[in-house]
Amino acid sequence: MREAVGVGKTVEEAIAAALKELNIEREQADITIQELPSKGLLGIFPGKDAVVLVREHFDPVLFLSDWLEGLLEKMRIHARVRVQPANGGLEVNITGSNLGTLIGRKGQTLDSLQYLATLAVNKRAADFVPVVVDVGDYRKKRRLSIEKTAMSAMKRVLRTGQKVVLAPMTPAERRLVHLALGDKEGIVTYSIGEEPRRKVVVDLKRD
Amino acid sequence: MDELLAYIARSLVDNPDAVKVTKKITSSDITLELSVAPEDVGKVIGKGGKIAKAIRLLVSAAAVNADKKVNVDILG
Repeated sequence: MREAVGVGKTVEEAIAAALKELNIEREQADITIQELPSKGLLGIFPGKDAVVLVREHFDPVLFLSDWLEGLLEKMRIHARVRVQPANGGLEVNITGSNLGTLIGRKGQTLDSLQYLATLAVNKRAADFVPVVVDVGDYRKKRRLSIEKTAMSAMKRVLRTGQKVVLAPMTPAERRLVHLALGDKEGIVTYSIGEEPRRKVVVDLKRD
Repeated sequence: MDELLAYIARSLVDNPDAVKVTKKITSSDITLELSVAPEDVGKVIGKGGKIAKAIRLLVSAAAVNADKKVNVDILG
């Protein structure tokens, strides 16, 4: 986060000095007064200057758009980036053609991009901001396909009475399975194994 | 690729000016060496190397068209 300390005869002067140093407008700044100015006493005691701390106001949407555009440019990927606030966090959609390299095998590159974007934003944000990055409707399609897998696993468990162990998934994907089957009568889901090969087990609820 | 690596690293550390990337090319490989301020090493490696792994994946994605294998070394 960019910040500057301003010093001046008055609070206003101190703020103006710090804004000038950061080269920003007052609307883009968070200002904390650290010292109020005081006049000297009869020329015996020296007066004190006003001291303020000015921080550039952090706009996560703006920051993330710039960060992603810079990143894609350096990757030589031509794409459009749209960032919008959603569910108390940020949702990013990247659209364009030939974005397969950005998704990677099983979405690993996309997950990495999302992880680094989350770190970069939250290094600068005061409160935690979750970030979800999607390329086209990759995550949506993946969600539908996982929900389908979860349902067919459930049907098989109900039919055979035997538990079904699903393929290894990321934490976010396992969560989707737990959510999809969480309200189903007579079915339990839990995870076994260690990352990155942790898997969901679908089983009959046994009392 | 070296620019991409430096760009990502600078956005994660406290001392962006201390981020340096050097490129070493052999006949079969390109090795990018990332160095950061000592107090920032954890910010580019992460718990269990999680951040380093994510950085490597993105750099590899950018390197798909290179005909050489690309390595990222983080100098601690």
